[in-house]
Amino acid sequence: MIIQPVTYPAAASFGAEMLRFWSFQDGSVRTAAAGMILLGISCGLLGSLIVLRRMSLLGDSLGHAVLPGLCLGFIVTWTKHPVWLFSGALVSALLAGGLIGLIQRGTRLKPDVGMGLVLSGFFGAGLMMLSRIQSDPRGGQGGLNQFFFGQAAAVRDIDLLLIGMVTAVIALGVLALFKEWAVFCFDEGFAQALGLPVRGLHYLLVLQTAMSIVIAIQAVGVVLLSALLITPAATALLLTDRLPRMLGIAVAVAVLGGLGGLNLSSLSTEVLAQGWDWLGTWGTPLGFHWDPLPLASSLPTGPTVVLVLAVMFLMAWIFSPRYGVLAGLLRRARRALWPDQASGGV
Amino acid sequence: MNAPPAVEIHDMTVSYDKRPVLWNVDVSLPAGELVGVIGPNGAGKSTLIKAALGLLPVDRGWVRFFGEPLARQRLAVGYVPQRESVDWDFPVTVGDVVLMGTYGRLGWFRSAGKSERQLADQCLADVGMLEYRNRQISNLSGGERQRVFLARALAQQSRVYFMDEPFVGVDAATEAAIMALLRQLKSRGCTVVVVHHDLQTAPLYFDRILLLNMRLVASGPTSAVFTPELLQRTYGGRLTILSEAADRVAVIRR
Repeated sequence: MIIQPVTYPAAASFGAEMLRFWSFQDGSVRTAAAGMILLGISCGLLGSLIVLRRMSLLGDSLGHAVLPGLCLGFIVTWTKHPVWLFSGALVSALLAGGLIGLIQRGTRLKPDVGMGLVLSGFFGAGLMMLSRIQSDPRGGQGGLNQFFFGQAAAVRDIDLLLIGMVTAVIALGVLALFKEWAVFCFDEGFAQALGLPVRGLHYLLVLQTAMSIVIAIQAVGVVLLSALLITPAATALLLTDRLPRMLGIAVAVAVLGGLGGLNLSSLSTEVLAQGWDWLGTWGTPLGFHWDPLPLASSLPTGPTVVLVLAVMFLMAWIFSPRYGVLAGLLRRARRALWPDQASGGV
Repeated sequence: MNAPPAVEIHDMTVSYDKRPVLWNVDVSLPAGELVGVIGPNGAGKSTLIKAALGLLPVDRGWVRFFGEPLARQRLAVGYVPQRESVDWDFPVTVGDVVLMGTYGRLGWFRSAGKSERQLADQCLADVGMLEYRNRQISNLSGGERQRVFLARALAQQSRVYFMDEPFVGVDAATEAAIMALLRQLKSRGCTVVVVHHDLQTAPLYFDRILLLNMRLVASGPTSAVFTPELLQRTYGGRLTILSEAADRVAVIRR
């Protein structure tokens, strides 16, 4: 089969669309971008604490576990009423968090098993409720599908208000208790000996994680939520040895990744197809055969954001001055060439 | 009037998963002594100090410091956990770890200021680690890590210290430095309770010894407690350990 060359409307140019996005002319782009910045702040801060506490898997579990609560919250009004969705998802996440703790303490199973069980159990229940809702005429048009992969463009002003309030609470909670979080994450036994209520801090961290997850659903979706928490923090940990800087870098990475992903997912199908073609012409001389396929839709926000974040992590992994792959190779080469100097410089 | 003892543990029983690991421990420690907690692996030495610090729930019994419960004497009690209990890749500098010792006095929401930083520097200097202040902690040797933990405890400015195996896996220079520090603490009137493994050095280091094997076998001044009979009751019939200990006892008696 021969694919005919496609012609595109002249208006769809990459530069014009980029300019249009980054000038934030459109109200919907402004709202979505503001949401992404707020989410970057909350997820960057909390993700750092979670990664240092070795609770990354908990973020993933809670991210999946919100689905049943989300569905229940939807059924209350059969619309995407932000307060009901938020409450339902939060209750669901907290229930899952409590259940994970109960399985861990009440049985001989280790925490990762409990998280795996709760993640799949809650997600399964959520999927069943979702399919039931979508077979209902009132639910079919509800747009609950977005909750899987996220659609930042669907973030409304009222959602933004909620995201802003929750982000403010989270930022305040992390920054006001900064030194407490630092001891708690580094040395829990010592924190307890200092008289800090470590149980309470743990539950506060779980609660804040659940809250940050719940406000991020609309934008990035349930499935890939945890990446917004974990990837920026992991990237930051490869770039610095100081906790305050780690929080700053994690927030910066999360914001940049969020806006970058939003930008890519805002591009029209025409521009994407042009880029696709361009990749094809670039690849042909190298021996790749490239059949450009017509794109049915623009890129979904959630996966795009996650992909941009993953690329940023990859860059940090390779190029980090201290912990990067290149730096490691360089160190090894230097040691091999000048072994007498190796002991001196670190 | 008699001053209340620095540490008083009364009829304490502690369990893990409903299995008791410490039974009916009764101990009273006067202020200003170096106390060694001695016993075989699994005897509950770490459990004893963790329970005393309130880190583990206690089935029965109570602990008092200077006649008061822990909640009222929290700042008087310092802690040096085992080195392996933390992640040394954590993004924090030596100076910041020591600064954590001042957090108990600082209280909620307040951040460390100039006086806290000066105190932390002084404590680092006391353990000979001041020039490491801005280093990330992962590059430190075992002995250096132990000194950092000690400096953090010093920054707590407590009157009673619990130290969990501070001498394990450190070089001879660090061991001597730690011992000098403990004697200095003692001269300031502090009580230091140390979980210790080495029977060779135990009678040299400590004024008072607790022999522990799930129950308290004996507690008292080193010369009265560090005897072959009591050690045998603590360790059972492990001959090599016992003969070494007997040699040591003979040396001391001379």
